[in-house]
Amino acid sequence: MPIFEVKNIKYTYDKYENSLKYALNDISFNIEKKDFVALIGKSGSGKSTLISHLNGLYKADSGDILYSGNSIYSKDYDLNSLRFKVGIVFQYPDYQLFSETVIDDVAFGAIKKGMSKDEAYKKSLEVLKFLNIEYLKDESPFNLSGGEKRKVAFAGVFVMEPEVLIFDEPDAGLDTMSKINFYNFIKSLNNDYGTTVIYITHNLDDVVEYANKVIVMSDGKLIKMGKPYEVLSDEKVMKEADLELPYSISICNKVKSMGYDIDNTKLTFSDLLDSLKKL
Amino acid sequence: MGNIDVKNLIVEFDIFNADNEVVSKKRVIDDISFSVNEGDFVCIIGKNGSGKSTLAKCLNGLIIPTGGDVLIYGMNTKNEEQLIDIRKNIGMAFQNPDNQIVASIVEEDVAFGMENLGFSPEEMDKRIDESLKILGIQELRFAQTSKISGGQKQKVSLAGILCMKSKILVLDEPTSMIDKNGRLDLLNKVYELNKKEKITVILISHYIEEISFADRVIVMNQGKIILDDTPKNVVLKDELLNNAGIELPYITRMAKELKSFGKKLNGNEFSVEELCQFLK
Ligand SMILES: Nc1ncnc2c1ncn2[C@@H]1O[C@H](COP(=O)(O)OP(=O)(O)OP(=O)(O)O)[C@@H](O)[C@H]1O
Ligand SMILES: Nc1ncnc2c1ncn2[C@@H]1O[C@H](COP(=O)(O)OP(=O)(O)OP(=O)(O)O)[C@@H](O)[C@H]1O
Ligand SMILES: [Mg+2]
Ligand SMILES: [Mg+2]
Repeated sequence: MPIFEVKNIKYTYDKYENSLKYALNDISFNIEKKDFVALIGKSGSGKSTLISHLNGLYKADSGDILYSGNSIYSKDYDLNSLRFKVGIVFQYPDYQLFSETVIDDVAFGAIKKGMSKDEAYKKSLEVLKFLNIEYLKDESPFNLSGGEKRKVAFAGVFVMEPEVLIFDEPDAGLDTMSKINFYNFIKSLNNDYGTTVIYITHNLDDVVEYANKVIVMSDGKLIKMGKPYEVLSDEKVMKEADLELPYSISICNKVKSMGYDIDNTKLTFSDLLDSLKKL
Repeated sequence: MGNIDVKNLIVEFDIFNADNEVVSKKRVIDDISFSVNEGDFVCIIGKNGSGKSTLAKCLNGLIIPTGGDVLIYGMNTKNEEQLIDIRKNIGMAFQNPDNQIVASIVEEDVAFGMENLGFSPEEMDKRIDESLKILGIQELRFAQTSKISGGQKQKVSLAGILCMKSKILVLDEPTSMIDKNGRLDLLNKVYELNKKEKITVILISHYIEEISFADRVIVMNQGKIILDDTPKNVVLKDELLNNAGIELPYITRMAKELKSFGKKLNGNEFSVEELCQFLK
């Protein structure tokens, strides 16, 4: 059974106005447990709106969302517990920070979920270590740098150990090493614990490295879902979505235009390097 | 004298305990000096917490140095009576655009910075139109700022800065939430302003490939400048960069790998074109 079944959802922000512009326009897709899904699309295409539906924060005007087979819109569905199963870090993590110290902030959600205080603080410290920000534990969250704030917001969600992790542009504002560290960490949660990951990004070369599926949004519609190479090498889709190609594809295209043959289904950095070495 | 002179700059923040007493000081900028000349395009890179935003805030006098001086066209940011003139010369895009949006309608927000500078309504209108066009968001002119997406907010706050036409632009991660297409568009526009109108640009970014737009790259680590050189020279110092938490740009990494495999490349290429030269 898929962990998420999204069925024909529509959503408009302008319900009370006459212009019915859909931020989400008849979206359907399934996400399997253990999927690592990248959600891509131009600015304003509806990505953030879509993920806000997945933990019930926004309610679709029509259509349905099933989590582990149960409609989250049915009357007796426990939306509160869904928020602990589906952890989201939003685009502006500032608004998710509110405690006096970083460690209090990070432990907060887990305690609310029912973890003992000791356990929550112990775990929080571990996660801060993983993210290389243990040194910030006693600082006030408000004095942190942009990247530091984002990492603290990640930590708070990790400590809750949700079944699904959702990130809205997690790499925005992270330095490159922190970004690699972050992706490796969620990849290990995905491998070792089967945590499902859904994340929004504009870095298409990273999508090739980490995701097993990609969803492309354009103007409120889902225009394609598939494996990274299928989606990113689909010129028509990339054009419709008005997205710039990742470097890997641009390199393949250039190589081909110079009269060489290259396998454009192998797009990870190391695969592409191997192909280029053979030329 | 350049149009920006930073001399032995030190910034320390007070660290408070639970009773609001200062218990220690945290040094975030540790004795740095550099000058920027009119028309330079400088990119500042460095890992999270290395002091980039703090430095940017020193440039427009939002943070006053604990030690040393910051001079903008010779005016010291420590002289309060000159701060207005300093800020007229520096357009500054902050890292979190959401905190920067002040008005409820996009065009009002864009106009906000111009309001007290004595422009005629026609001139303001023209500039709003121009800067929204540069960013490709004309259709958002009358939209409510509470109802736009993350990347759109970033563009709106940038439009507000562009229409001031300041002589110096300080952009702190201006494109962190914009798709690559939009990002390149925007940087090309900034590049054009830099080359045609000699606007001085200081760009802070984690999109490491963006250094290729700059004449000069300043690399920060733990509050110090560890490198200050041209983009082509900077990427040759990969060990130093790695130690400072920075990975090389995608194309450069590929070029470096192919070079060490024996292909004819320099290992500091930035574009797909340059990279594919080895096939010729
Ligand atoms: N609170 C709101 N009220 C009204 N319209 C909104 C609101 N939030 C977003 N929108 C509109 O809905 C559309 C989709 O916005 P959304 O934030 O989902 O885009 P996005 O794909 O996440 O973009 P970005 O990459 O810029 O973050 C946009 O046209 C936006 O202007
Ligand atoms: N008001 C403050 N009080 C105490 N510490 C602060 C304050 N402002 C910033 N800092 C600390 O100073 C250091 C430098 O912060 P700064 O925002 O300049 O970093 P940055 O290089 O811009 O990082 P990022 O890439 O994450 O944006 C950080 O460790 C931050 O926690
Ligand atoms: Mg968004
Ligand atoms: Mg910063």
